Amino acid sequence: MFSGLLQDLRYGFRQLRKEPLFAAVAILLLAIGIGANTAIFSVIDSALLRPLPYPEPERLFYVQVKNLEGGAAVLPNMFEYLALEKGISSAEAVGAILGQPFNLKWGGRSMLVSGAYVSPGYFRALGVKLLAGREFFPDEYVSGKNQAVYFAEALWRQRLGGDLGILGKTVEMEKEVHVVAGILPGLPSQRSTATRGPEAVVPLPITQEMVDAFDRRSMVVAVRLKKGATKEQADEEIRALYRRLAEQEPRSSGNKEGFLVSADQFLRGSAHQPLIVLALAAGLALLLSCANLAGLLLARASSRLRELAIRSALGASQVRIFRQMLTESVLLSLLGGAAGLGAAGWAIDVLRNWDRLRLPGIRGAEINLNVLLFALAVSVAAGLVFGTAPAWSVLRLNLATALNEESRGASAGRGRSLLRSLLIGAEVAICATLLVGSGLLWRTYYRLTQTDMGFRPDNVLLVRTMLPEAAYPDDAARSEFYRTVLGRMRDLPGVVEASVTAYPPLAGVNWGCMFRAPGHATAGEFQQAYYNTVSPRYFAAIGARLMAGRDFQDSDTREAPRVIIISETLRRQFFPGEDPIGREIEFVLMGAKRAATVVGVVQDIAFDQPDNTRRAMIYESFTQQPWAFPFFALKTAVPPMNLAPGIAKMMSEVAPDVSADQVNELRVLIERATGQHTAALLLFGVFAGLAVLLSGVGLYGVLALAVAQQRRDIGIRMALGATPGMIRTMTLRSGLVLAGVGIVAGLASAPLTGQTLRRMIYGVDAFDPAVYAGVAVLLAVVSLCAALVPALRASRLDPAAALRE
Amino acid sequence: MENGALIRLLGISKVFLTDEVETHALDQIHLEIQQGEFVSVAGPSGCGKSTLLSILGLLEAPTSGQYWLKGTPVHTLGVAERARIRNREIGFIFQAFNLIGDLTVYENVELPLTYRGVSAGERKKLVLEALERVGMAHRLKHYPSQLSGGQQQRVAVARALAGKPSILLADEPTGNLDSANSDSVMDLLSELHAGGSTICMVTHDPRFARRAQRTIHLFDGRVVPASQAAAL
Ligand SMILES: Nc1ncnc2c1ncn2[C@@H]1O[C@H](COP(=O)(O)OP(=O)(O)O)[C@@H](O)[C@H]1O
Ligand SMILES: [Mg+2]
Repeated sequence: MFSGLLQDLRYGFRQLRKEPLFAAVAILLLAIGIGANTAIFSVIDSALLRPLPYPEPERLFYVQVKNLEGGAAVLPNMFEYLALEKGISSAEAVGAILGQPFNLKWGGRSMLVSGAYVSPGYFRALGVKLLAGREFFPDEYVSGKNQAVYFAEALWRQRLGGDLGILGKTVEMEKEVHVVAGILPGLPSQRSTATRGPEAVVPLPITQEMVDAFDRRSMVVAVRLKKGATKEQADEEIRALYRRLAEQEPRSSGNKEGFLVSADQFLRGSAHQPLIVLALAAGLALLLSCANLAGLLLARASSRLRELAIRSALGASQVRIFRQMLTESVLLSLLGGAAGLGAAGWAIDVLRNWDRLRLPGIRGAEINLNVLLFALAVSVAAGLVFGTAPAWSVLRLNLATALNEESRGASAGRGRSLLRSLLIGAEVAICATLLVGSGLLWRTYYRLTQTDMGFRPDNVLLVRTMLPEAAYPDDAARSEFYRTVLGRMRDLPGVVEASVTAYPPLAGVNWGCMFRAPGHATAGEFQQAYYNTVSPRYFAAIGARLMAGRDFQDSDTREAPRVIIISETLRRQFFPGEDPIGREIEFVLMGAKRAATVVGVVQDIAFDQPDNTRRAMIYESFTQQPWAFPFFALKTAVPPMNLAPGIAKMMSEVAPDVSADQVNELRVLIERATGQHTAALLLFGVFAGLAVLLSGVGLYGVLALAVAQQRRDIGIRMALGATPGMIRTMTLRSGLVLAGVGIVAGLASAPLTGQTLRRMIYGVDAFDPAVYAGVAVLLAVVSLCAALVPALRASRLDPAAALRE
Repeated sequence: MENGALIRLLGISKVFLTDEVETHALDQIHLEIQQGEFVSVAGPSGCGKSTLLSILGLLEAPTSGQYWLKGTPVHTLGVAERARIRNREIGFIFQAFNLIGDLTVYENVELPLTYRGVSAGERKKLVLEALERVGMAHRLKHYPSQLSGGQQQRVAVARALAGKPSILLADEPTGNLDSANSDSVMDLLSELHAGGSTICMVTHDPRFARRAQRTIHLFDGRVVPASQAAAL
């Protein structure tokens, strides 16, 4: 048996060497298909399959909160966390983490590090141990005394010297002294395994202000269940707990209910959809490669019939011949797989270094043992898939008649050409499916990038700064700082406008607040809105239009009457048909209540995605309500990044203690917000393009072969008076019929694609007729091109020569 | 030029160029075929019989010389025009039958008519008429591979007849048939001739050549007198 296999292999190798062109084409097709799948698999392996970097991850859960009236799930607030921390008896540990950037002073320089506050139970819930150092003491979790810090290993090694002597020493962070308590192992972020975790972690102090900020739902609460405890038990406890909280404090938890989600879902859920979709696309592309190869092998089988007949005459059993043919295909696909592995390595590199592409897990993607095994399995499977049809078609033949086939003319071999036609139909169908998917993704992307985001991103520079609390303890000090910096910025050449805001467009964060308009129809009732604070001329700097009233002015000082600007959506929702200018509004922000007069209405501005603009916003003036970690927004007359050095220099002169190390174009935020769409679109598009190419080549191959095999028939037709034009039309038509069947089948099954992509296409009709029509036309044109060369060749045939053969 | 002949060849030559070697397949052929004649072409293998038929059937253009068909010069025509004339004026019958395997008997016979743009109703009439004449009207739905060689050749004759061409060109029509089938195909051709058809047939078999009114002897691409042919 084994020696038989060796013999088969040896023979297979010899066959491939005999036909180097065929072998090269086949290996290329396979390398593309297997390479694409291996690359995507390595990303999936990194994003979804590798065990979470926590012990016994199946016991780790996170708390999410759903609104019983519907809407997306949110995170708990501090008020709820305090109840959860003590209230789940089936939990071994419960802990929370709250992200927060810190300004760290090191070596006489300020740097902005990603950071977080953690509660005592957080790392216990994760099961993470310090690499070195001591745990935070219980009394360090108190406001004012939380002056200890853990550094992440990467930060410690790369930027802080990597010396364990740092433990017990003090560093200056946020203008306060912190003791370095420990070094944390490298962890992913608390929200997603796709991004890096916090670099500096300090104890979470709990203040009444935080507890009262009901709308601040940003607590990531990790729960490690006791051994043997079930999610259902814990969920039951949490439901009961929320019922109590809702009664106790309806403003916080009314109509809300907490529940657990698995760590896998919480940390990786967002990665599932795009990756699964890409895997499907890659799988279809491979299937297409296989279909093409099966076609090639079928054609080759025709020319090998004689050889096989002789082997069978020499006593080879049918099984033996079948095995020989399968061995050859698997050998071929293993060679293709090896080439594909190389292609995958290259593709991973390209994807990783592509800044605009936000593919979850791409950072950790690599060719490891799992990926190798996958590539091997896919190669063998592909070999079996594309090898079976030709091998079987040979098996079914009576080899004796096969020998006579040639002499009897065209009637024989019809079975095989039918099989080839079916393959082409299937290829075109797969192609249509992928194209519809790309079309829908493209429409989504196009709509996203073409929507009115409420601002103009060109020539806007954003500079993120952090004011150390100690140096700028109060609003007066901060206001002074901003006035100075804004003045200096306006003096820089190339700056058209300088302004400052708590959050720029598309940042995807802002505070919730509650408001009411006394004397209004909705009287008394507090309504939900969102809050931001911006300086005069901010709207002008980012190119947002004022719809009514006036902008903030420098004269809106802390002593002047409080003023606000509202968004168009808030105006529409609460002041339909009224003039809101001059209206008094009361609002509650982080537990503090204040009153202000509406002086203006500004157009809606995109919040997290370009098309998500409809938010009821309340803007306060930075001159009245400065904020400690703002973004400066500069409208420039020159390419924005050209200004970065000048701004850094100016900042180091004006305020050396303030870090301003995040400088970006506003355009970059758009790219970030649409990065996942870009990734999905690009990769899907690549696969669809590949599919078009493959099925075009496949169609060409089938037609070229048909023309070659039907030379005699074509000669006969010409003898009977068919003009070259008629022959051309006939060949083109047969190509288009094949393609047409595929197109119809593909478009009929395309709604499945739409369904698979449903969470990635929005705002467009999954049955968009333009997309469907476009795909049909594109494929028809491609098919026509593919059929053209064989058709011309057929029409130029010399009938006398063809008949003489 | 006008002398009533259906076909007039004047100094037709055909030279094939393969691998730098010139083959003079036909050399200065002069030939006339009258309306209603039954001519046979005889000669050893490789003497240019098939080439002559190809040129007569406008499948191939002569290297030099003139070809007048029904009083019009056709040696100067382009490919598409030749195809159209071939379709109207010529009916081919081949040694290897050359039916199209993917088409039924009916469709095979219909084929030249579709190229001519005959309406479906008219086509049906002509196809049935032709198949009736060769006695194959009971096999309309069969594929060629389901027929015997003799039956296939009858269908091929029907296909050549269906468009009512001016001349039937038959290249060794009995070459692939046993003697019983050969006889019946030859009877069929004689019948057609009796009915007024013009026929030019290549054959090796002196028995069948005798059925023709006249035999043209080819040798090495040239027409030779019968007396000389016998000597060779
Ligand atoms: N397409 C061609 N290319 C080159 N030589 C050809 C071609 N067709 C025919 N010939 C040559 O022309 C000569 C006449 O061939 P043919 O007409 O087929 O003879 P016959 O039918 O009498 O046996 C032969 O020598 C043949 O080899
Ligand atoms: Mg011949």
